[in-house]
Amino acid sequence: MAVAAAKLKSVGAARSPLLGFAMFTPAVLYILLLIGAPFCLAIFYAFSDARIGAPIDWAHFWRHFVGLENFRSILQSPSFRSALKNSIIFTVAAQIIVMVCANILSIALEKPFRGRGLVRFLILLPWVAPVSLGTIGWKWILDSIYSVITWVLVWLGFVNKFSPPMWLGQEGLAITSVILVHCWRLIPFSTVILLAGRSAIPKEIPEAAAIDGAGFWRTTFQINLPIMTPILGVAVLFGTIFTFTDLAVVNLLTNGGPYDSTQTLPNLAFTQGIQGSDLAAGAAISVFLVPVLVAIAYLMLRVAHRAEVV
Amino acid sequence: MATAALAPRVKKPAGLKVLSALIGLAALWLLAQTLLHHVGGLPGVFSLLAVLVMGLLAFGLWKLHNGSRVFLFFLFVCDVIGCLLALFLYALRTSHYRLAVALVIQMAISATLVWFLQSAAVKRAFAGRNPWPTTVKMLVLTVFTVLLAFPFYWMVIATFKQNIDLYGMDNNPFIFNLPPTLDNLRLLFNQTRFLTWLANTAIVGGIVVAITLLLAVPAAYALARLTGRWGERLGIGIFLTYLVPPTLLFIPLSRVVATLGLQDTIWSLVLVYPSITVPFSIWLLMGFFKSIPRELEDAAMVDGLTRFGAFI
Repeated sequence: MAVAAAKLKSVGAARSPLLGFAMFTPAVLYILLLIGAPFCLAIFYAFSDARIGAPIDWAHFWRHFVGLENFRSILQSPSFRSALKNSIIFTVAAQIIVMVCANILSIALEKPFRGRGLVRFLILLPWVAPVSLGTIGWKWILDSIYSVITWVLVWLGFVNKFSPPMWLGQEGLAITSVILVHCWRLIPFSTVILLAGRSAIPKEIPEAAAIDGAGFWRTTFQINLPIMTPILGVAVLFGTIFTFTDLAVVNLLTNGGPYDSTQTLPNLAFTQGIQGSDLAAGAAISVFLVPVLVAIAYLMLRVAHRAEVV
Repeated sequence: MATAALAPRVKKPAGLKVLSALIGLAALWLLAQTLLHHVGGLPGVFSLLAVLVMGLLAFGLWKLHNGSRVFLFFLFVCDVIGCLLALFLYALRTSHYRLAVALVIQMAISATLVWFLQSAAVKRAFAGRNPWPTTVKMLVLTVFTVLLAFPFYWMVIATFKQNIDLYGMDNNPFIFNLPPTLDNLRLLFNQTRFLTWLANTAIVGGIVVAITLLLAVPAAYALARLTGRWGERLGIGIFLTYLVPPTLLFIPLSRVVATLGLQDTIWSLVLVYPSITVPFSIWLLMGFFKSIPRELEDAAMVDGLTRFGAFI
């Protein structure tokens, strides 16, 4: 045994570093080239006067440097302020709704019952389907003329058929619609994460609590939820990232309209940077995502360490 | 459970017998109606299904199956809620008083049955089990499933609808008002380049998966096993790159793609997608490799395999 261990050690010591290096270098190179380099480039663009069609002269790249000019101009634009505000509102509101709904759903789905597979499949659909597909479906459902929701409201006599609510054309309604579509997409994801967290709770603790006379509410709020805090944190942080950096939902549903009332940072960066050819402004806008993401990354690492996902 | 089995057989409450007999009779009546009037097509299928459900419910209730009782309870609770909603949202608001009276009567009947099904006598017959928790759970699941899956139902049904049906403002949007059609699918396959798009998606998907696996599997294995402390730091670094938003990257990446001359080709997608999938896969696979016991590999290596052989 000792000989075997010694042999193993020598083999491991002799081969491991080189082989290990060879094994992860390609991935690291790819990541550096396609994430690291663009990341630096994005930050450079944010301080430059880059435009599509006016290529940067890399031999004299310092001539393109314009300091904080881009940041000054975007901070003055009302679109940007509305985008920053909306990004935060959408993220926070969606997370609150998602957490409440996902908790209720995960409690209901916890114990096995007949037909659970089917129910799970139906509930998971919004997360499994591509974002753009689901959003296009919603765009039709929230249409100003052919909306199903309007039809039901007209049928019940709440709404006049000839002045239907413009789900995506009125400020308040458009904001609500975007938040609800985000929730619709994230609830399945959070439910799955919370179900995993729930199944990891040792059975003895709720049982002991039940013997001690704790009812459903006390078990939920004073035992299960505190035990699940790390996994709840993971769900919230992932949900925050998905909502905060999401481009597809807003771009397809409202494209920021009406009058920038549903504009978000990613969509503004896309419309100005790519469609409006102003690379520098687009980069400057997207750089505003960084502080939030650094904060999330920090929290994520702390929570993840406790939940042991890294 | 043991006490329930040992307890003397509880007498079946008379109300239960009456209820199950009534449901059974109603099932028979509906069956006779369907057959005598030659109801065909979808309505026929639905009424036969209803007959089946009612028959099973009657039988289950007679045999004291708790499942049937809970399901029946759930149906009656749904009915009460539905009646309440219809009463306040529609009948009273539009001053439709005859309908309101009918709703109140129906609600009263359902509420009485709900009360009866959870009363002490019936509870005793079903080993003291309370139907409320399961019913609430079923209600929650029904509501959420309908809300979450509705857009997909909507997409599927709209696919097969005729255009006139979709554009008719007075048509009920939840059902087929005109017979379903395959016109939309025909348009998709014959008059658009849908098959090309499908092929593109498949090609991009396939190559991206291949690249991702090729890069991520060895890297994840190396990070999980070989490099100790450095591995942990690198792992955290890779996890952090997963958090870098695509939004931040797409502006410079669009320039990179343009410089490489790949714009407007599917190869740009093949190049860019792995930058999202690789960090994620490494992170996912790392956890997976960590969960394989190290001893298994050690044993294999003692038996003469190299580290690479053990990995494969």
